Amino acid sequence: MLRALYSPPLIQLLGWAAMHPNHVPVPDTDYRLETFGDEVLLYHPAHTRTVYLNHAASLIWRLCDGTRTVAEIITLLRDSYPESADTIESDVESVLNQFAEHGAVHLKREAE
Amino acid sequence: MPRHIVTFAKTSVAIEYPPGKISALIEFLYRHIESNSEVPVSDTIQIIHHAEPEPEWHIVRRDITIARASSVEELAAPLVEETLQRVAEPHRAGLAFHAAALSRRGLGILVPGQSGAGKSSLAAWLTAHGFNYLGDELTVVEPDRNMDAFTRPIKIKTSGVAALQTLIDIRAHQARLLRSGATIMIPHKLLNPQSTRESAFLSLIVFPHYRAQAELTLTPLSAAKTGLALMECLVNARNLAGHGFGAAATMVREVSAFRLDYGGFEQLEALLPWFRRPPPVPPQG
Repeated sequence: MLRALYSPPLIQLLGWAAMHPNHVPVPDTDYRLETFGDEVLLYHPAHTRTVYLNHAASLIWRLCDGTRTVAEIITLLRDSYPESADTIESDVESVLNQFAEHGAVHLKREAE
Repeated sequence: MPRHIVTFAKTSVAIEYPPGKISALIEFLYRHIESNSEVPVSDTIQIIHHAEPEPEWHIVRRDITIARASSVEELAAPLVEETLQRVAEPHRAGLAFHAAALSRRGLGILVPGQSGAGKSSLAAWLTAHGFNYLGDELTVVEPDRNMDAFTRPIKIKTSGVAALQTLIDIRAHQARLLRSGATIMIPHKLLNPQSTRESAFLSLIVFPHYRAQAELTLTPLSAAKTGLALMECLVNARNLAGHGFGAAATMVREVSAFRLDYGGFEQLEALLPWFRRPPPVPPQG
């Protein structure tokens, strides 16, 4: 259900998938956002980069409020989409890795 | 030194050139583009002829040679590219796209795409089928959705000449065409003598994807996907508020957009009625 976005990111191809459940995805506030129904476009003026988010990716983007951890985002989505519970964790990590690759979020450790 | 003013989208660029055969080239390239000496010149392009060691033409801007050509014909493509860039960059009032534009009864079709996507070929085909040719490379869409395009001769890669032959008898019109490097430039009036440069209201966006032997498919695009593709074709982003992102988002909510995959002109015949009646705008979020 949450299979999202575009092609597999370079970061995945390189095997970098060491996202920690306690990481907090913090959105880059320089990105401008336009919502089109279920879809979203992000635009970064300084990098002149446009990022397309399908329904699933835009859902995850909205949950990245700079305070929720990766684990909390996964839990929220599992509660909302129990039929996809088996794949949600890997899908969320995949999407967040792609966000990170585009600089749309950076991952910080939750404050101890 | 003779001087020709090219005015597009409220920007004037001067082209200075030596007397002689360049004047025919200037007439060929810019015949259908306004020349308004009342609009202040923002930039000057010079054409300089060097006789030694080999005869060569240079395109010079601000004392820097931008391109060299060994013949007047070779000069055509880089000269028009440089002119397009000089008139597009300063534009601040609307969204300037790397796109062809056509119209029929005041309704405009925007055909954006990168080089090789097939936008000039599609523009040639639509022109030959009764649409007004506005331009095949640079189109400005104003906030009120009125369109203005740089009406240069249609530029087709020589690899596309065989397909073009189905639209006009190239051999019969040889004297009115210009071969420049790997391209051939065709006055649009050869394809449609009735074509007029009318004011057009943007009503349809078609992203062409030409590939030899491809099947004909027409795929509706969501507003978000249209916005993504359009931002890649926007050439004056740095002059616009918010880089034009908000303005582009507004535009794509109001206009239907499609991806057109095609592999030859013969396939397009089935779509002619569709092109003549643009679909209504779907509701967008």
